[in-house]
Amino acid sequence: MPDNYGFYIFLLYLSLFSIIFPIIIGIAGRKKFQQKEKILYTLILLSAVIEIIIYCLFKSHINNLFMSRIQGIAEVILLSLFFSQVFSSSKITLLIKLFVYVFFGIAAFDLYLNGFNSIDNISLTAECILLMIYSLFAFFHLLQNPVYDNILSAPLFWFNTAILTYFSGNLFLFVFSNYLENHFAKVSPALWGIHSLLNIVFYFLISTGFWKTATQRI
Amino acid sequence: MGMLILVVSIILFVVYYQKKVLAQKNNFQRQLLSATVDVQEKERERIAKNVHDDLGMKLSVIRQGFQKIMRNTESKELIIGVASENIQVIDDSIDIVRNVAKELFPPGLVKLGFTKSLAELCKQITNAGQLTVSFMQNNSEIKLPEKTGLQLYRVTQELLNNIIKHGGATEVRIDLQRNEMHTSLTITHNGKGISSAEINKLMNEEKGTGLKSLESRAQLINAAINYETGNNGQKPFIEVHIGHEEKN
Repeated sequence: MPDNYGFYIFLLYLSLFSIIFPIIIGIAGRKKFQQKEKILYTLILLSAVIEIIIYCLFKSHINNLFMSRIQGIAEVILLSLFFSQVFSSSKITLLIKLFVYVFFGIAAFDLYLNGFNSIDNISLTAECILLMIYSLFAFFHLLQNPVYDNILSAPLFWFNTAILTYFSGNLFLFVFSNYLENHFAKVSPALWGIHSLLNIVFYFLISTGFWKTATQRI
Repeated sequence: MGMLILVVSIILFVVYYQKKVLAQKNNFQRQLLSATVDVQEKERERIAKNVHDDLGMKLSVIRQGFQKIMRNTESKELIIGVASENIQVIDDSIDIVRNVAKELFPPGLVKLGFTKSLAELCKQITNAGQLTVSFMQNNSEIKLPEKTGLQLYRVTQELLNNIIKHGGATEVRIDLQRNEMHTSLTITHNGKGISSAEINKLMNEEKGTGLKSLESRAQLINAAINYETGNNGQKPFIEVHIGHEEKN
């Protein structure tokens, strides 16, 4: 058993429960939600369902790695829709559509290469890179159109920070996940601990975004 | 290490963004100030022209009348004739002075208050025949502070002027609503509408002086002006919104 195993398990459960915050804040502020927030909220709800299924499969000693593939595809589709709303330009929407099709191709190749019941590290890496590009471009878009008096009160800033932090952090993890699983089993829980920590940060930042939407003046 | 770089980058982004917003705000304030000064100068020029051309001419006529009397002090008939002419010219001059004073500050605003003055303005425009303006309010007791009333009156005047000039409307409805949270004045019309985005674009152009002046007046009373084109069968409207917590 690796060092600090208990701590990593604690982080894992904490990350599972942290999804409750954006769900509750989302319920409270749903009246002020626009299309962008609705898409993100759908993603959060879907993630909660997937987390529950993953947990149930884990408890039943059934391989649950295939759920990661479903989650990855759902994340790319919903976040692509989210960023299409952010940029609201027909040219960029077309480009985003193209990126999504390319991602589908990569996901199919990964499925063929790694099989159904292994970590989809190739498609997850592609997903992280794609969403990081969207996110960086969204920051650039914010700078080009400074419509908010205070950027910290803009929900988009928090959503975008959440996406950039989560996917850039996980990029490293997904790139090396299969290799570390196979060669350094002792290091693996620490990496999944980092993943849990990133999950908590992600949900916290998304909750802040929902909160800012709910308390925004019209 | 990577996470640290990311956090620092996000902090730098926030700082840079806020600096950019501040610079943009300062620039906009400068533009508003310049537009306000421009409008004031144009207004002064117009009043000076009115006073010089109309009042100056009337006073010259009166002066000539008196000179005529001085040259013919013995002709009683001539004195009576010139004096009665002068009385008429003096009455006209009083009307001119009244109109100039009215334009400078509507006297009804102090005496009658904002709502009655606005109702009076609507009546005057309707009587002029070019446009039918109706006025509705949700509460007959709506009273605004003097400063807010004056600026809102000016804003409404300018908006109506724009609707007539650029919107080509024939019917206008003004709704004044006030509750505990806010006061809102909505002008709905049957002319060509304009969106807030188009207004922003016009304001960034050199010729948008009137719009900048409107924005400047709105800022004085912490009001926000929202322009809607009125799609899907809805008529175009302009809403002036004043939140009470920010009013003073």
